[in-house]
Amino acid sequence: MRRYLALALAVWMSACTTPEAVREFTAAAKDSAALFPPVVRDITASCIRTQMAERPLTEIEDVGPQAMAACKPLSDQEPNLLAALKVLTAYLGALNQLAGEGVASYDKEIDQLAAGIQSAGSFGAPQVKAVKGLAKFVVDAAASEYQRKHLGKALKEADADVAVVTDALGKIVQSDYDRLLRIEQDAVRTRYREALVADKNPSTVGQALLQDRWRADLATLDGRRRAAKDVVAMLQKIRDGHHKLAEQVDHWKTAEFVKTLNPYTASIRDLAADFKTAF
Amino acid sequence: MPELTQDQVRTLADGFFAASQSVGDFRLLHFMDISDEDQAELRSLQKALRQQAIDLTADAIRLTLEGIKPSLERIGAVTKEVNRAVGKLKDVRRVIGIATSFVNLGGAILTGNPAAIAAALGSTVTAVEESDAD
Repeated sequence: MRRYLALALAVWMSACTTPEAVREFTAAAKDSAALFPPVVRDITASCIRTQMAERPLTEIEDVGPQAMAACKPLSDQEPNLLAALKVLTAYLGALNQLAGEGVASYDKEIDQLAAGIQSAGSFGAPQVKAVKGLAKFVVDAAASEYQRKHLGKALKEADADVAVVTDALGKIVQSDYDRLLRIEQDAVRTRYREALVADKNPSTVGQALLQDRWRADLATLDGRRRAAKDVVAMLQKIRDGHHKLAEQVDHWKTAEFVKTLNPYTASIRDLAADFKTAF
Repeated sequence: MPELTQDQVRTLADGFFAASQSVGDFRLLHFMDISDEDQAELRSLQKALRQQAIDLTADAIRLTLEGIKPSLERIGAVTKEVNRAVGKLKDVRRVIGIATSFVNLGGAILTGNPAAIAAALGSTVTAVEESDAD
């Protein structure tokens, strides 16, 4: 009888804990979202670089008020975009904190409590051990259940809005940031082409150097565009993984669910690693 | 006239950018045949079209961000709830901390040692004060 009771309690306990797969997904989502601000800042920076590339070939100038004014409509949106990103990052961070193993683990405190009981002198060692085990069981079970319940509630409540926000941010990066990079690329290419055709006394060495310089600039821009694609893909994985979590709140411990969620986590980590090569 | 949608603005931005590319390609392809004045005019036109594409891009971003304001507000509210839940879990830790200090205080009282009682009392006060501080 005692054995069955212990088994039932063990099953109940395991159902309450937040599985590693959920913790890892929320950690990957939080970490990847924290990488995005440099992309947001590069939106205005790309515009400034375009303005500089459009300056006459005969001029060497710093970024002046004219370039700043031309990019003001974009720089005006930068704080709003960063704020939107902050909301998403804060949400993912809070989820990860709630899913975190440390949040619902009270081993250290319970050890202190047991030591306190022992030093109070009213109980012997076996009784203290029993009180400690019982306290750990009750506190862990209550805290884990509380943790899982609130995680599930948050995921369900925010799921539709997370999809709206990740899609919108993805659209801005995929469509708008990419267009700005293409405009910059066109401005730089025009500059080099004009330098070539306008040169009345072309030199082979000069032309070769110009070609090399163009290739280097193109590689940098291509790197940024690839990083932008990584951001879009990470946002999609966050959206889809979040949806799976919300949809399967009661099945987080099943092997099938873990098998479904883990590829999202792995993809986000891989994309983040690729992203870091450009930013 | 109703405001353009974000998708319409993006289509326009793409259109203006494509037009600027065409003007640039034409200018550079016929560089030797075009007078300096016409070159300057075409360069200026190319730049203006690029700038239109940039301004429309900024507008598309503005419209997109305006569209997600309600979603951001709701996510913010859920975040507060999650943080409150995390705080509650940390409260359990505080309660255990306070309980431990009370157990120690009880043990010290039983020993009848004034120094130990004073030390345990100090720890209990600190635990309670720390709990109030958060």
